[in-house]
Amino acid sequence: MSAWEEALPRMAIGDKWEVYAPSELAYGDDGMEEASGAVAPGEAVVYVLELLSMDGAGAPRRPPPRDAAADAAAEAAAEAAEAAEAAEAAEAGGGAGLLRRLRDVQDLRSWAEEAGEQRTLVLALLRAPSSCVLRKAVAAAATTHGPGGRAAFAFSSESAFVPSVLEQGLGLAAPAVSQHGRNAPSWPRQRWPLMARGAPTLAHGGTLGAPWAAELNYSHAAWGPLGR
Amino acid sequence: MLAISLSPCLAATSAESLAFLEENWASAGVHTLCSGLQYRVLNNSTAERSPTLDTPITMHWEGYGLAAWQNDGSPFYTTRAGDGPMPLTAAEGVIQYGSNPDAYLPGVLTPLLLRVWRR
Repeated sequence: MSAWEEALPRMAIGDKWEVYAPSELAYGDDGMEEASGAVAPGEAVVYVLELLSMDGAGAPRRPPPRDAAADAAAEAAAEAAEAAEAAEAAEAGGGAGLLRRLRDVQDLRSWAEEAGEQRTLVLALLRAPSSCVLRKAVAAAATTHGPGGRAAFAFSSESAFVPSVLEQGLGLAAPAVSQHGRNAPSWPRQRWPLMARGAPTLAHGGTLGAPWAAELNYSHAAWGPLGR
Repeated sequence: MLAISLSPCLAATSAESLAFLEENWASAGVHTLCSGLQYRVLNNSTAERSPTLDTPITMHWEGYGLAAWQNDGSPFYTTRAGDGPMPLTAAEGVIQYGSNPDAYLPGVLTPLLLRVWRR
């Protein structure tokens, strides 16, 4: 597959695109050298393509994929709505099952202490472009299974590659959803494929281990992946 | 799906280029396809049909190495000088650039393998 093979069938006559191609879709590990210029091995390539004419019926044009900026804007709106919801819940005196955003390890510790060991806890480590639907599901998980359940999430909106501050603090390498508690639900994989992804992965390999458990003063066995 | 397919490419694309693509991914107006290809629309026509891989087309194109592009350098190829618009098909782009496809096949496969492995 090449960059052109990907891009051109999505363009229509008159379109002009600036295309940014990872090296896998361009000159790869070999690079390229010509009199007019060179591309280093592994270097990304930028093409400016302008489709002038085509000879034949072609195919119906495909809609563009969603762009990250639009996703980020939607996330921001969802966050504002959540904050408003949380404020309402706090005023109503409930506070149970509150979905809280955790910024760092300190946040996580105080959240776990507040909740106490008897609660059902669901912790989600999410990264863009995970949807707010997933967050709502996390909140629902805590509230629908056992009274007083609580849910929290840490979120990195920068990119799917950048871990949140909490993830970094815990030494985790992958986003995940994890839970603790007597009434912890099991998640049907078909219905919640994202939730069933498993335990957090440590940066140095292996799953759910010491740093995480030590921060929370919970035993390793008490926290488990969803969808077991 | 986007995230996973784009994500930790273990080989191939260099660190500087990956850093650029990761940053660019979140820029306004940039679309990212599952393959990791990103694009920004400079001019959007109202035409409703697209070429298929074997539809003969003519196009203007310019190609820049990332470093050259970032530093306002010159393209390694441009149809704006010399021969003018280039007739071709999208599939021919593969032949043109795939002089030694085996050399970077692992790079293409890595995201796919990761996707399976992560399940």
